[in-house]
Amino acid sequence: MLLLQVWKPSLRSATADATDLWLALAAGLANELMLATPVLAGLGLLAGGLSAARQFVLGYAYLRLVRSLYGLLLSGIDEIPRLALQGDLDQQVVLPVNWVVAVALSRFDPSRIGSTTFALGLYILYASGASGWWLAMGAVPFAVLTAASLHLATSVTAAFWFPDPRNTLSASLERVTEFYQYPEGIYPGWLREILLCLPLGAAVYLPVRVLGGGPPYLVLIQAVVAVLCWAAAIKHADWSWRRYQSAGGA
Amino acid sequence: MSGYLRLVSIGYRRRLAYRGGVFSLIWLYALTFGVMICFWRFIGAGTEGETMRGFTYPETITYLFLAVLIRNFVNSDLDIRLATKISSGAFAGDLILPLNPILGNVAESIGTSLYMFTWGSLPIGAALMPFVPLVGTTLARLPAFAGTLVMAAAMNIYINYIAGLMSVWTRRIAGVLALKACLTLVLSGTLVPIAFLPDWAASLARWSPFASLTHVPVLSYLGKLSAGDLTAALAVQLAWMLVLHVLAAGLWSKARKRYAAYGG
Repeated sequence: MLLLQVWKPSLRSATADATDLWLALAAGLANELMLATPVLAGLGLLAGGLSAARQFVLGYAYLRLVRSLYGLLLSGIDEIPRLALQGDLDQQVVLPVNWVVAVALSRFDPSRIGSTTFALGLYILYASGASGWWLAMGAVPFAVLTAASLHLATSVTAAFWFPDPRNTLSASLERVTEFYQYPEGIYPGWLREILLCLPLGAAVYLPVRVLGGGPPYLVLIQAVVAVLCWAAAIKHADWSWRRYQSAGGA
Repeated sequence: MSGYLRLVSIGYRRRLAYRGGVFSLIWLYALTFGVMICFWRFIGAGTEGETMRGFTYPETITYLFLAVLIRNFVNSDLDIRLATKISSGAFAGDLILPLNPILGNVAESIGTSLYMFTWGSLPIGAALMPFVPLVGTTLARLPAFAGTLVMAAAMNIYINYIAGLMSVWTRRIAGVLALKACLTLVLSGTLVPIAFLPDWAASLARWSPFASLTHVPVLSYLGKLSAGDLTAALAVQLAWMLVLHVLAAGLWSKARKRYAAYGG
């Protein structure tokens, strides 16, 4: 109930003006189409026919779905460095709920509704025939949890340990995530190994392997990795929190 | 004139304080180009040595490498600068300066673009060039490349100016700017070469002003434009600039009447 009270104002603020809301939805959808341009253009040139194209789109749609859902519901996490720098984190920590959860829910981004719909449509279109599509779909919340953990870890590090106006750490995470929007097969062996060992490898590549006919237990590994990542990120946030000094309206 | 030159210098020097950021930019662009190279190498491998819509694999990579670097400095911050000032009321301060308020903001953005060229595109290009399979150009093509680049930068100023002025009519400009960014990135060929788009989208892109922003300069660098094509491309750039100028002037006269500074 308390969490709902925290979430409601961000929802109301994001939907207060109809013109802004429609613009945000259109921009979100346009952004998603824009990001898909290389994949869609690449498909026209790709050798290997429908199966190669399907492999490409599935991984892409899965990652976009995870990122859109994270952006829609939890992207307040990315605000932590700014809140800490300006001293505005004070307002979040006095709430009678966990400060990380309060911050995470403080920004509802309606522009991601278009992105989520697009990614979901693409996923259903290409995955519905695959054997483990419902299993991979059920694993989406765990993939979102992994993404949230990584964003929390980088945001907290940038806020309390290495303040950086250019947000290099968060930007690096964004760029590394871009690697996962394409199938693992396009990368050289050494890079593939590294990508698979990182938490996002478990979050994205394992369910996509299940979609490609891989063993269903891979999804269980993905869930375990997600829970471990979240536990570690929360521990890191609580530990780093001690370094917070309210700057107050800087 | 000296007032505007001073604003160009201010726009440049304001960013100079953050020039250490060039190292993080090199790192971030290295990641972006890493993904890009793996993706297009894989796609190119499927074509078994043939060209992809008229481009070899190194030409494709060169096209995208240059397009990203060109956009990095050609795309000034004029739209965000104007939008922020208009929505916060700070634009009222520009109106009482003994300078044209729009030209003043354009001058500051030119300073920012000069900074992004000297402390962004140039060092990023130099640092990453040895690791990216690029094709070179000839000395004869360089004047055409530079000419189309200057025209592209001027056109981009008009486009950003029009987008920034929209904040007089909308409360939150983020949606307008995001839409503009999408159109610009896709139709200018920054994400994928225009030839790789579906035919209808490629035709749309070629007729739009956005193709002149990166597609035309990169093609002139690669030598894919004959003398006739180059003359036509420059004429199209000039024509679009005139259209954008008329549009921008009309919009400014309407915006000036509507603008109500309410501050902060």
